[in-house]
Amino acid sequence: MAELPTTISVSKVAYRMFRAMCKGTEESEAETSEKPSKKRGKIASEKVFSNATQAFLVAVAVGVLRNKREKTSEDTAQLIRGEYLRKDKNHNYFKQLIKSKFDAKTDHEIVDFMVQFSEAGVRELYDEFHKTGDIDFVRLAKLASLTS
Amino acid sequence: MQLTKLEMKNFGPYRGEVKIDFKAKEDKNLCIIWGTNGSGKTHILKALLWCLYGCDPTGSKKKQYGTERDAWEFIYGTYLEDQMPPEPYMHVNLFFEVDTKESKKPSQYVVKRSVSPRTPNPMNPTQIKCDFEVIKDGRQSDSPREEIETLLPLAASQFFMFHGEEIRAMSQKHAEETHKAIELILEAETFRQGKEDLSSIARDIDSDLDDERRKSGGMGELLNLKKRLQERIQSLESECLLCKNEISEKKRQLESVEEGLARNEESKTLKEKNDQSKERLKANEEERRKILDRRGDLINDLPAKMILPELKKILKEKEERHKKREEQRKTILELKGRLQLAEEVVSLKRCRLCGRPITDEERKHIEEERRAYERKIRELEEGLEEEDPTYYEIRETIAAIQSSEMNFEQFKKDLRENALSHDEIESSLKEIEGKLSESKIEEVRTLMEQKERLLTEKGAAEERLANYMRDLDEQKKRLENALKMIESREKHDNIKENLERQYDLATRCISAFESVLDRLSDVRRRAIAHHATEVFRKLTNKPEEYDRIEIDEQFNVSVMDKNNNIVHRENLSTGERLVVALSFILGLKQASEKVAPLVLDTFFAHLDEEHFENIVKALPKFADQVVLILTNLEYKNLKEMAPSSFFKHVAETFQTVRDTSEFKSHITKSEEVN
Repeated sequence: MAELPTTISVSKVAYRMFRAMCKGTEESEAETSEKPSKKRGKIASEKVFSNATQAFLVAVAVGVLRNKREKTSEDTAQLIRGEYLRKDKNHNYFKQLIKSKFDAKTDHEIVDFMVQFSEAGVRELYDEFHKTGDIDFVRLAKLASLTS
Repeated sequence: MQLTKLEMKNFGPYRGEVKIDFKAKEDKNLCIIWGTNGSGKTHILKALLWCLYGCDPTGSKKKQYGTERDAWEFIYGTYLEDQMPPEPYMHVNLFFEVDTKESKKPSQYVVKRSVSPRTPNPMNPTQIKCDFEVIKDGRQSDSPREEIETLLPLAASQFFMFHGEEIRAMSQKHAEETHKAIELILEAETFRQGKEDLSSIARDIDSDLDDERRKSGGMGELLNLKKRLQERIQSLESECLLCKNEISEKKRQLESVEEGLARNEESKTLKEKNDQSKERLKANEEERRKILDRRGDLINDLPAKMILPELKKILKEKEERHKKREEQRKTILELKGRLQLAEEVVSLKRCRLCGRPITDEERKHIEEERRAYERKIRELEEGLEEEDPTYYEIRETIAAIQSSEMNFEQFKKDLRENALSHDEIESSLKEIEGKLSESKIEEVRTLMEQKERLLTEKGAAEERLANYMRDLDEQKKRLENALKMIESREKHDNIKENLERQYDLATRCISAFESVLDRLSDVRRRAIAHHATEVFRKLTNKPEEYDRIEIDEQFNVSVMDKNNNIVHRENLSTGERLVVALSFILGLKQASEKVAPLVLDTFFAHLDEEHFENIVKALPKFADQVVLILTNLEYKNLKEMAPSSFFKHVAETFQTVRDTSEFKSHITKSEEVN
């Protein structure tokens, strides 16, 4: 089986959206493992995701839930490294889903699907974040149960 | 001392009772006993000495006998087995009288010594017993031996009762024998014993002194230790005092701080509340961090929860296909079972259930069925759905997602409650800080810090004090021990000084004793020489040539001529040497200052005529009582040569007679000479 790509890239628009919702503008994935408790004072709510992988996977889930995909433009930016995605348990769930539903064969194809779903999902997330300064995850959880 | 009677029974060669009555009077003080050789003359001298001292004076062992073993050796030991006394009993009783200063009448003494058997035929010393008693004026003495020693000591007895052989020995080995004789008369052994006793005392004292010297040593070290301990105790006491002062000062400062805090009681309470609120705020923030951590976990789980409906849809589709396939597989399995059964029945030709043989018709029918089964199975296997490997994976994934709990509601609730609590604490803090001015807060804080610091310092000072006190106690105990040891050493020093004085005294006593002994010895030596000279001048046949007898410091007895020159021993004849020895012995007798009879046993051999005459002439004056024991030849010479005046002094004459047929001796009265 072909391995995951070294890096996962998204459109630059999506990239900016992800970055807006993740803490730290220059943060690397290694830094994202840092606990929020180490932040000084009251935890700011403007950074809803602790890292880009987390944000990417939630965005993929929203895209899957809405059954919306968007093709990535040629102008892309590197969002996360494939290594971090592989380590996340959610990646395997998405892999099973995409393989079963879309007949994707390789990891590259699966990642492509995920990126397309995230491109759609991140826009919805960012809209809410932009409007409210936060994302109502309870609503998202309920949405999933309603959809079922 | 005047001998009056001698009684013997079975003593020596004598058998049965034998008596000698000495009958001495003022003018008749001579008793003559004569006999042939071996007739028992010398046994009369032995009987006298054995009775008085229990010893054999003629033997080599001139010691006091007292034990049965000694008596056995002396008396029984001399007999061969076939010559044992017919009666195993013997005794010697000696009767004499002694003039006393207290009374005109002399005291009458009877000395009894006997040996009797414990068994009929004694064969060894354990089978005999010795008895000895002294009766003075009819009363038995409690200490018979001491009684005799007082009258005539054993040491002095040999100058009174002696054998002629002894005089000859003394005349031959001059210095040695005279030395011994003088030592005896001086009772030198007693003095030596006294000196030895004193030396022993001095040695004991010296030994004790050594012990005390050891015990009293190391005083300097102890005094140094005492000084060091005292200094240390002084230093510790001053340290303790400083600590106590410091503690008192800290207490005073604490009281002052407490007063300050009491004055700011309200501020203090507010400060405490302020501190508590800050603590609570800190705890609240900590809790918020924990809640937010949960949020991260929840978001991590969210994608899986979100795709769960889609996964379920996929599983549902896969499940339908899976069920269909399972049913197909089940049908095939059933058909295969039937086919197998049919094949078995055909091959066995019997019924599988009852064992009945099948008929041809039945066989044909079964074979048809078998072919139908085969056909059906082939059809079904061709149409069997393909197995989906992801079916089980998805089912497990769904189960895993469903098992994880995701409660955003609770998270939100917790977060909200935390925020409310935060707000409440913050408003409380604002209220407190509003009431508490910054300066008051600072003052209370300072006071509380001071209190804390003072408490710490006080605690440290108390700990130091406790340590010093412990050390002080220990040093005091050590000092106490050192003082006890010093006291003990001082005590030993005193003892040591006392012992040193005693030792000094003892050594001075020894010196004094030696000095006294030397002086006494010198005086006695001169006295002996004087008395010996007196006798010698009467006896010598060369009065114009020889002047006197001298005894030098080494107890050498010499004859001095008229020119004051020593006449060398080798220049003296045997008879002259005998006369010198006799003079010396009689000098010793005089020097001993004891009154006792003179018993001379076979003394006249080796004397020339002139000496014989001189001695015989002087003999009655040698002592108050003289017993002469003579051989028959000596007696014959005496009768021929002695002047008739000599025999006027003879009280009794006895003859010892040996009965050779019966191996025994007896004593008979002899002729009256006068």
